[in-house]
Amino acid sequence: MKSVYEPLTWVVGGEAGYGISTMGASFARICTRAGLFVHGYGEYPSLIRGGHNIASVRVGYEPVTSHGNKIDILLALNKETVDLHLDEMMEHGAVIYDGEAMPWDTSAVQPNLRLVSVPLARLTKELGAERVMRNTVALGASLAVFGFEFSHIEEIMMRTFGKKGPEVIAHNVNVARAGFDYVHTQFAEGFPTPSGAKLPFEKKMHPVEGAPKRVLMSGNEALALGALKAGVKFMAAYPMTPVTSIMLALAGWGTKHGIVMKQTEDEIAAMNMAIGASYMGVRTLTATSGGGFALMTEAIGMAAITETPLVAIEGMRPGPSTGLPTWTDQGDLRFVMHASQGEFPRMVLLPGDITESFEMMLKAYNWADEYQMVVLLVTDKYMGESIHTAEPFKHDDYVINRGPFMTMDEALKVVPGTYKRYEFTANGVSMRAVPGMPNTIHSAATDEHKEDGDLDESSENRIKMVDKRALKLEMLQKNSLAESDGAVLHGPATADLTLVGWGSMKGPIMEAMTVFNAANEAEGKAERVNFLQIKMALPFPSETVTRLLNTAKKTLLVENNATAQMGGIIREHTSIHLENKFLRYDGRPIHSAEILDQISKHL
Amino acid sequence: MSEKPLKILNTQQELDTGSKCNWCPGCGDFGILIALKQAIFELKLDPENVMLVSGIGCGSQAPHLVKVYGFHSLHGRALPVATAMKMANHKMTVIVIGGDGDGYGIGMAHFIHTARRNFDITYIVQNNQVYGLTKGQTSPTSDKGFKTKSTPEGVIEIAIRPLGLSIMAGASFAARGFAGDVMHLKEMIKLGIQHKGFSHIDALQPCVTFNKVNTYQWYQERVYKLEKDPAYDPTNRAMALAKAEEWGDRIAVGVYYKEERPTYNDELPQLANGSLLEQMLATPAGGVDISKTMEHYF
Repeated sequence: MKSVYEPLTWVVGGEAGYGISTMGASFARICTRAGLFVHGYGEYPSLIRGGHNIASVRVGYEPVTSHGNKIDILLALNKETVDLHLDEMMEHGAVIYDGEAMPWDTSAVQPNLRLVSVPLARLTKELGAERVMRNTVALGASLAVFGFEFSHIEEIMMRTFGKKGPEVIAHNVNVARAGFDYVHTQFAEGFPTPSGAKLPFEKKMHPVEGAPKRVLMSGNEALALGALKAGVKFMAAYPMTPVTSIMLALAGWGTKHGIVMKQTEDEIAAMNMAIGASYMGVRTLTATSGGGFALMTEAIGMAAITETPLVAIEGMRPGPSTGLPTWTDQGDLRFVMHASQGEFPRMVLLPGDITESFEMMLKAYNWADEYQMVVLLVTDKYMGESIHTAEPFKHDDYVINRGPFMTMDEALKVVPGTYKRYEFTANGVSMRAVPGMPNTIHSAATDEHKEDGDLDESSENRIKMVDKRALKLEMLQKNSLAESDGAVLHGPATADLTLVGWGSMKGPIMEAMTVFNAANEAEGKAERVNFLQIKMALPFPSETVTRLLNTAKKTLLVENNATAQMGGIIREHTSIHLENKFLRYDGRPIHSAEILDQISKHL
Repeated sequence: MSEKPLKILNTQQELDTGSKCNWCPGCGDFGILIALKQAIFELKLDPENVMLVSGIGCGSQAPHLVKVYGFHSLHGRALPVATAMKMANHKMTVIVIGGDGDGYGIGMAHFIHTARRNFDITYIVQNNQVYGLTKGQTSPTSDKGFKTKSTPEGVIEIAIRPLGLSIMAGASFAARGFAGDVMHLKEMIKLGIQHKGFSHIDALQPCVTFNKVNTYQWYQERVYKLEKDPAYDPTNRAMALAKAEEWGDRIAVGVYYKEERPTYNDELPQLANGSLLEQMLATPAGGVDISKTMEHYF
């Protein structure tokens, strides 16, 4: 199938510890500031130095929501990069490498590859720059191949390094210029190819003049920004791939915004602290991956039985146990839905991109407070650590809703001895008075308790309390959720094939759907696909999903796991069995081209 | 948040909740509970500004028995819950109470790290050298050779020395009391609450049901008061550590160690403009202004 939508993929590869991901971020930032859309994805082994790292940036004139499987420009900072990625090159792609530092026999490689040998090390040395500046020389060379004018690069670098003063800017600009100029002067007549011909790199991209300002950030940063907006005051966390950047973002904003981010001795302490601080009346956060979440599970039940609002993030990576610690997976969904002993209500939210990550954080805090409930957000390495271009988040209409939260004036009117923290009410939610308030002394317990918080093991009270807690979720679903909070149908209302997916798979599925439908339209073919995105695992949007799946002609479930967990959840709640599945569980995210192949197979 | 009017108690009985207590007659927990209530009363603390946090165990029922704000948390997790409470609202007096299994067993990691963080909280450990709520198994402070249902041939490992651990880890106040001497224990608790920093109070207590060795009489024969020894200097760390090694024929009660150093919250610039709770309540209805932060991502 001929795609009408062809982003360019630039990949940098090298040894771990040499700033590969920083280079990817810089390249992505330059492209975003030039008005282009990017999707940046990195792969790295669980090592700090010495392993093979890559950063891949896909760039387009329209939103790019998936990584790719083909490379247009490969920036090889070591020989291993060439060895591992040469077979992924597009036929007319370009390889940029340091031919002096990295001798390489090119006689056997694809005949039309543009071989861009730039003496990165020598140019760096001649400029008297530090070794690490080799990356900036390489970036300059990349952008020359890519098709940018140097004035664009200069302007963007001035904005990037603006705060560091004119000397730093001038130094960086000079170093980048050396790589840029080398490409222009040495390869004015085209790039050498193994076939002997000198050929230009044709798939160039140019900046979009007058494009609006857009953000470039990771899914993790979007979650952190959402928490900041919602007024989070306290976070407790233990570092763990792939969510560590959430705690780092909040730690960085701490002094300016009055947020305490406490790094703890383990995830048990992190979760217990998040709950303790929340009990006192502040919005809190914790974030972890599967292994840390396993340690947190007991405390989640404490939040549930003490009816303390809790917002927590689980960023999935492949298990069991340590598994593939720096790769991606969607295998923890069932775990998050069922973690902790006993039966209690909870929400499990499944953001599908950075904009949804931000928006769901805002809602998560309101729902947690309004219903004094556990709200868990599930993300993964692919979405959390990838970087994306998006329109600036809209948040002007946000209103903090703390639910029934007693004010000082209200507390002053309370007759001492009458306040009941767990009073039975019509919607199951009781007025919350935080410690330090007048006239509302009470105790909370992880044991079953009666309305005033004191222990009670009677059968009658137990049934009432279980029902009270369950009622909250029922009421939330009835009174506080819009249909689009649970599930959304993207693309045409009717289609020949409905793709079903959740979380980080939204991007690749959306891209495959867009490409397929546009290509068919261009070719005059009638077949179309659409996409049912599940955004909430609990409470499950049974009605919406049942209605949409009952009208679907044919379905294909796409999940980044081995056991089609969402398929099972859909069956449990709707009795609908999705027979066609495309599952990937090697730790690598599914990309749009694979889904396109699958669409073709099923239509 | 406006300040609430201060409440002064007229009698110690105003701290009683009237809740049913599950402790065995003669349990050392009673002495500790009375000492705690007396300390709160004599220090003229406003009960509405006191947060009492416990873990799980016989003694952890305490928050339901003292009319202050209470949180009866998970086994071993009272310290992380309580320290976060202190960070969220540092204007509260935070007191933590729990048993030896809770604090020195399952919660040991939190105990060590809380000590080095030096939060201004008071941690009372009801140390009876046995697991009572689960009906008589060995505890981290059970003496070597102690026979329980889980160690019918006697405990093989050696007992931990809790005061030595907390002093080494950085507790800025470490003391020991005895449930059989309520007046003295009350003084220890008062000193602990008044101390600015992490105060660890190891409260020795008999378990009349499951520990037939370390009885009231056993303790009374061994316990002596440190403050009666004019040569003992609680600001001397080496002396304190040496004293913390002592166990057996003679057991010292009193203040083992005390030092002045900034608390964790003292070093948080985030709290300069009021407690996190006050800052939370002052957050605009539309949420925090993130426009400047968002620019960073353009």
